[in-house]
Amino acid sequence: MKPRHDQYVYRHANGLCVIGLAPSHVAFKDEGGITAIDFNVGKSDRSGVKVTGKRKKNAQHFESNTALCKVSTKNDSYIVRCCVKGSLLEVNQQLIKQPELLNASADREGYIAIIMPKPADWLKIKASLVSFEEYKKLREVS
Amino acid sequence: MVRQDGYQFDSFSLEVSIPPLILQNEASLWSYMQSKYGSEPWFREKIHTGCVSIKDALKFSLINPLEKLLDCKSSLCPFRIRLTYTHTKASEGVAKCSDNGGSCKRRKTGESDSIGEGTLSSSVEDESFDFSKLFPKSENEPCNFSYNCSRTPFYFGGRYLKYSRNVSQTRWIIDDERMGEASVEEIIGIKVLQACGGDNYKFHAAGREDIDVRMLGPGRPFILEVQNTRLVPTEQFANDIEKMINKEENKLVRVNNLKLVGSDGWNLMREGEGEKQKQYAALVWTSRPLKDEDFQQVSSLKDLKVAQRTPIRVLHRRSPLEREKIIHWMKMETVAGSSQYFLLHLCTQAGTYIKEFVHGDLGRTHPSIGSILGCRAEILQLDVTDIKMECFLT
Repeated sequence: MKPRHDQYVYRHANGLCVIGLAPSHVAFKDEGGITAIDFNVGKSDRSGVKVTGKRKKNAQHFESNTALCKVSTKNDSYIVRCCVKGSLLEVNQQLIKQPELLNASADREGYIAIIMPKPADWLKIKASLVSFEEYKKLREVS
Repeated sequence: MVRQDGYQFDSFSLEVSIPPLILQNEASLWSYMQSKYGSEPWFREKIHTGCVSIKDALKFSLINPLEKLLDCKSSLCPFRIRLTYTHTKASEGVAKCSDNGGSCKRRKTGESDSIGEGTLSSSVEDESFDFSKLFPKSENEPCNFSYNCSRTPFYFGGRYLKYSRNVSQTRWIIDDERMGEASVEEIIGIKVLQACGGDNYKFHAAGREDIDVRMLGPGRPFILEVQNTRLVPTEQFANDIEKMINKEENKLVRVNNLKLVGSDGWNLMREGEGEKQKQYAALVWTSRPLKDEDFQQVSSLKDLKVAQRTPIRVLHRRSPLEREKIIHWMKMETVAGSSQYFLLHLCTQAGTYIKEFVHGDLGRTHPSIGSILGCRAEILQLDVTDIKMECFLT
């Protein structure tokens, strides 16, 4: 992960992880904030996959450093990564038409994707993630 | 033996199971007689008037002594006595059948004994196979005999209310730890099971609510299936159990209108389960103070269509789908001393996720209370106040 490309991983009790941009992500510092998002990165368009059924058939399996999407500002673009190894269940399609959701509420309606890691994979990655308390101290966010 | 188990009954139904070897011998005997006497008129006549099979003959000879012993009549009834005769020698006919290859039909069943019977009966119909070739061997070993008795399941129907926010509907255990302090199915099921001496129960309800949601109003319809009861439950019995459950000190669950139901109970409960409307009361917090216009705006929405993507909290075990649901009406009630907390009463289509309708589930349920009011909304408490179904109301 490049420095200052801060992302959040919100883990539900059922194991699912919601991935998104943390408020201190460098993209928000650009003038005008984020203007567009593109899920067509790497080898496939992440917004095109249809996951079906209880067993989540057709879900793509990604590593934690796999590219999830690309967000663009007026002058620059940034790669957003999965952060967690697992199956990609869905991406937030709303962002394509309304990228301003990322600027307004990146931690809720502006979420980027939902990933389902295997319990073992979660335990492995957990250590490299930073808790909310530690994050606040590191970034001096109140 | 029947008394030992403590069964209460006033009639019984007899079932007899005999080894395939006997069936095979019977069939070969018939086949032989068919070929030898088939043309004789007395034989033909016999076939027309019907002959008693070995199994039926055994049953007839056993029923009368049993009736005298148990001091009651035999009839088609829930209490079953099953006598199973088995023999160590497997059926020879089966081996011969498999040699024959194509002319035998093989039916797929789980137990090997049934396969023996299955191939045998289909072979008996298959005239080309000459059974007379299989001569009944004289047997010196007697059959092995075993018996057991059981009752067909009884069904109780009623409505349950849940007053606790820490009781799940069904037993819920994660990693050997129970979630919540009890479950509705155990509270009702264990009492009924003990009272009528059954082996086990199965709890079926018309829908469900979360562990932290109270079930109020007339209650939720349910059917409790009890297997192999030792006593015979009556209407009075159902009344007594209902009182016993409701007298519990901790008042977690209440049962109304508990009674015995027949097979029609299922139809009543399943009928229109998807169309029935449900009514709720929710304690909601909003990120900005609300005004009269907001209240009116919410009340004015009738039959509001809501698109709900599978909530994140259940997405791990349910299909990712978008389901359209209808909110029939809504009414907001103020909470004393606050302009940011209020009570939301709403009536929705069956299958609507209420919590997600309030907080929006990160925008995956649209519209939501938050999106309608243009602010953030969170749900603090939820009660089910009515289930508009007609069954088990008396």
